[in-house]
Amino acid sequence: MAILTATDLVKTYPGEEQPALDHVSLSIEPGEFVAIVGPSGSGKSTLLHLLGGVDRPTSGQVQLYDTAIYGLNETQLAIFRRRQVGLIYQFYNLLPSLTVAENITLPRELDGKKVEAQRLNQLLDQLGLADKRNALPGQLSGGQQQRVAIGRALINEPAIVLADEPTGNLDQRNSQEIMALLHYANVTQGQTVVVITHDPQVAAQAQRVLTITDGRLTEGA
Amino acid sequence: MGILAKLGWRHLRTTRGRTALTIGAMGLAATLAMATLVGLRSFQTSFYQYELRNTGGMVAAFPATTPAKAAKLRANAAFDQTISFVDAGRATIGTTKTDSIGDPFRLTVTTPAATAALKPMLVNGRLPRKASEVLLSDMLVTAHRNIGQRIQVTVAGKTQRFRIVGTTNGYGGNFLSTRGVLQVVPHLPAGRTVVMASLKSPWQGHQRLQAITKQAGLAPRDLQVNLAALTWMWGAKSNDSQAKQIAVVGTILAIVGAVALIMIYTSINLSVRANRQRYGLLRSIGTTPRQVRHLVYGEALMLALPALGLGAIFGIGGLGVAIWLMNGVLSGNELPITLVLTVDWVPLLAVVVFMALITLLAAARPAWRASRVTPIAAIRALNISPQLTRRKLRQPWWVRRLPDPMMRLAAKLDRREGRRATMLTTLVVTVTLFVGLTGFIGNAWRHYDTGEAADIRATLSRSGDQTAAMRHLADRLDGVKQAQVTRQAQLSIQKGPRGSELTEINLLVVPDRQAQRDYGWRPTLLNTKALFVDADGRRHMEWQVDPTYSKPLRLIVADQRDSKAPGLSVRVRYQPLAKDPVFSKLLFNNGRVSLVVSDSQYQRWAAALRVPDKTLESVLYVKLARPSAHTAVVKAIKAQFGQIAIMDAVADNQQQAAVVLVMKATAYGFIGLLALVCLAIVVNHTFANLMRARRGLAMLQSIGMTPRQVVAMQAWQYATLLVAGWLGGSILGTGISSVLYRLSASDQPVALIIPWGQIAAAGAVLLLVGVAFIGATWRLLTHQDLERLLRAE
Ligand SMILES: Nc1ncnc2c1ncn2[C@@H]1O[C@H](COP(=O)(O)OP(=O)(O)O)[C@@H](O)[C@H]1O
Ligand SMILES: [Mg+2]
Repeated sequence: MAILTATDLVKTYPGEEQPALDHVSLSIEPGEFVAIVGPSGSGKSTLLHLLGGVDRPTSGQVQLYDTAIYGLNETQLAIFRRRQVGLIYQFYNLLPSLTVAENITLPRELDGKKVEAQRLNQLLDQLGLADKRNALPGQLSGGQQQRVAIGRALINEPAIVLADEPTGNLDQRNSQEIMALLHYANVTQGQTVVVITHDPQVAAQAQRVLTITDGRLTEGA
Repeated sequence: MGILAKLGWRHLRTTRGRTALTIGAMGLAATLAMATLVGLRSFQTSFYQYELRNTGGMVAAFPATTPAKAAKLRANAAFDQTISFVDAGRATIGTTKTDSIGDPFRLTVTTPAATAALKPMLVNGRLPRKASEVLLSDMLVTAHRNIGQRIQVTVAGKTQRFRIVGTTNGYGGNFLSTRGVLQVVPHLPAGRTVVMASLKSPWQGHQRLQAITKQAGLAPRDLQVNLAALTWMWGAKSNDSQAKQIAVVGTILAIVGAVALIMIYTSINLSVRANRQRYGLLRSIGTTPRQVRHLVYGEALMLALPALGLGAIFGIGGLGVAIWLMNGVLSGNELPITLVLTVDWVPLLAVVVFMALITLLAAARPAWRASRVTPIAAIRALNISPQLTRRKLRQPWWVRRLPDPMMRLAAKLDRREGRRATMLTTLVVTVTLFVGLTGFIGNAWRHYDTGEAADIRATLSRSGDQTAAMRHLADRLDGVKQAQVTRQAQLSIQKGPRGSELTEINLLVVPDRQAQRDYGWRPTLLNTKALFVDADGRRHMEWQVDPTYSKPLRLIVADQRDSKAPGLSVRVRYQPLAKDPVFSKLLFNNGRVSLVVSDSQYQRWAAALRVPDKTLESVLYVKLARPSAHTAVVKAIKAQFGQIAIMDAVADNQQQAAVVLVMKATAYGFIGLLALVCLAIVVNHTFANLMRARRGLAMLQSIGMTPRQVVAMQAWQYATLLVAGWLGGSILGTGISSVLYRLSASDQPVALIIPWGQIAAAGAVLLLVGVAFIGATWRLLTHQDLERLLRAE
């Protein structure tokens, strides 16, 4: 059974005439590693935000297992995001006043849950941030910050990780490290991952590639 | 600490500048609230204590009762202190049984515990130290019954001899009887005992005292209460002045509350606006709207705490200094009032609750807005383009006409990005409040200025014609610019021009020589103007006696109006008092009408007027060459004439000036603080906008604008804002001040007085603010890290 199903998603931004996303349907199976590619402005980010419950579609629905997420109210949707979705952005978006460890554990603490020290240490090791756990984001390099963001996305073992050009701001070596981390989570924990990318090399590592042009899914659906 | 609290705390600490600004702003609001509440409380308790001095610190005196009942009454837990005295009954002094009105005397016996209550009653002499010494009511003083002399007092057939050591005055409202003789003994004798008590808490004092009286089986209507004192503490039963006080305090608190609310609201709102992206990010990783709201509330309360501390330090400290200064002024002028800084838990608790409530209230909308930030805001909307209407995009004619391209750009950006409405409103309200209230106060006090008249007036009555002696004395006085001696009586017009009937007239009898020199022998009416209301309700100043009236005036003695006295018809010459060579500087220009006649002429009138000799007064008017001479002059007059009624305007004015100074200082202090808080709102706004505009400014710099040019552009924006606020506020403020003045000054026609001074002061402060803005902008621009701001983050 599909973990995530999008049906007929349409998104028209207020004041725009052309929809940014035009009747897009897709489904994603558990444990899949999917890449979404397409020219700039084609609607990739829009699609990702709709899949992650960050924005609401003009019409259409997204289902996670059995739950139609756009039938939820704001609070339920927030809790859904916190538990079922891990988001990673191009520009890390960390809270500058929280340390590495605190940023990573934030979604869990918002749930009122403690993070086992063992799990945190394991994750920090995996991310190569063991010695940076008490550093503030401002003291980290771009690659390191992105690894913190990945940690934050993974901490709740979400149903799906959605990454919007996670390597777009990084050099070759750091890009490879980030992708390796996502692959590692995918392979070892069966973590479902959807990555938006410009980079053909990144796309090549995916099990499935979806192409978007002008708001339509044109390939690989 | 929960993660939200931790997040809030960290955030406040990492954005230190913003946090300090917000705490400062809220601290100012807290200072205002603290100073107002503690100040009002201090005034309240100071005047309570002042009024209590009249009754020796006691709030009430219960009806006379048996010693046993009195002892039980004194044990009541509601009382702080109690004193008793015994009403020993009707007394005969020598052979005299009643005073001039026919009221019987009484012998009152008390103990040394009542010393505090006795002191304010003492007019002359000292308090008794032995049982054989007594105080005597000053109404009973005669040549043979005075301090140092012995009297025989008979009560219930028993006669005792006492020595008089002091005299008492009954006008102070004291609970102790001042009709007769007061004795102080070590132990109270048995007899009808009166208990005086002070209350632990004045709250609902009047009601509670009445209940206690009833409980003790006494008649509540015989209970005496120092209502003047209780009224200050709002412990009297409903009465007018108490209701007025509560209304005034309520108004002040409402103003303070509104200003504090706006201030705190702005501060929190600005910090929420600056943190939009942060809230968006929190929302995107699954923070619920509720959690975001709690975060905002938590942060606001965390700021309120140090703000309260600041408020306590500056509010109470400042008030302490102010009260200390005021007490200096008051005691320097021998005014019997001392202000006491009262810091008790009522106002402190009130301020804490007030601040907490206002903070939560002020945080409500920003919190709601923060919780509504969409998660997208974190990801996408780094540069939210402002909602531009077509009107805002168009360039108005005056922008196109601006000569300098920089100014054109500034005006354009200002139109498109500036959030002027809020700031302009705040600024206008600030200036309006300041100019309006201070202008009103300035006008009100000008209104109470009574004008010029004699510095010293000494009046002798019932002692025959003393004018010769007075003239003799006047020649010897030092530091005198003008001295004038008259005999005078009060007349009133029986028949005269319309509207002048019953007008009272000062008859001034001057020596023949002067009548000839200054008045050409003619009886001269020194006319003054008074307020008249015509049929349409319009008020205007009019001559009290119409000077175009050509027939004789018929005059009679003022208090014989309804007798059959024939009166006297006189033809008078009319002269405005202000133009009179003799009396223009001695009598009030807005006071009574006077009639000047020569001595010999008055002799001829005497028969017709039938002025009783004892109502004829000898009066000495003195205008001093220098105010400081007043003490010596008064002393010299007293030395010669003894018991003479003296009006010393210099001393009165000094006291009045001191009171006015204190009131003014209080009012200006309050208004100044209020205006300062409002101004802080504007400053806060401006800096917040500047911080928000930083990236845009950095962009302008990156495309080659020099800091100078950017600053010039910003300066233009500040200038237009401040000037608009100043002009708008000044006009509205002038309007408000004149409306308030019109409402308050109901007894005089009023002209619009434009408070130029206050307008100039407001302008100067705004100019200073503008310069500070420009300085801060300059610093910011020359110190900012362009690369970091421009990197897409
Ligand atoms: N908030 C918005 N308001 C209006 N249009 C938007 C908004 N966000 C994105 N768009 C438009 O929607 C289209 C898709 O954008 P996006 O999903 O960001 O593309 P991609 O991520 O593929 O570059 C673009 O044409 C973009 O201009
Ligand atoms: Mg994109």
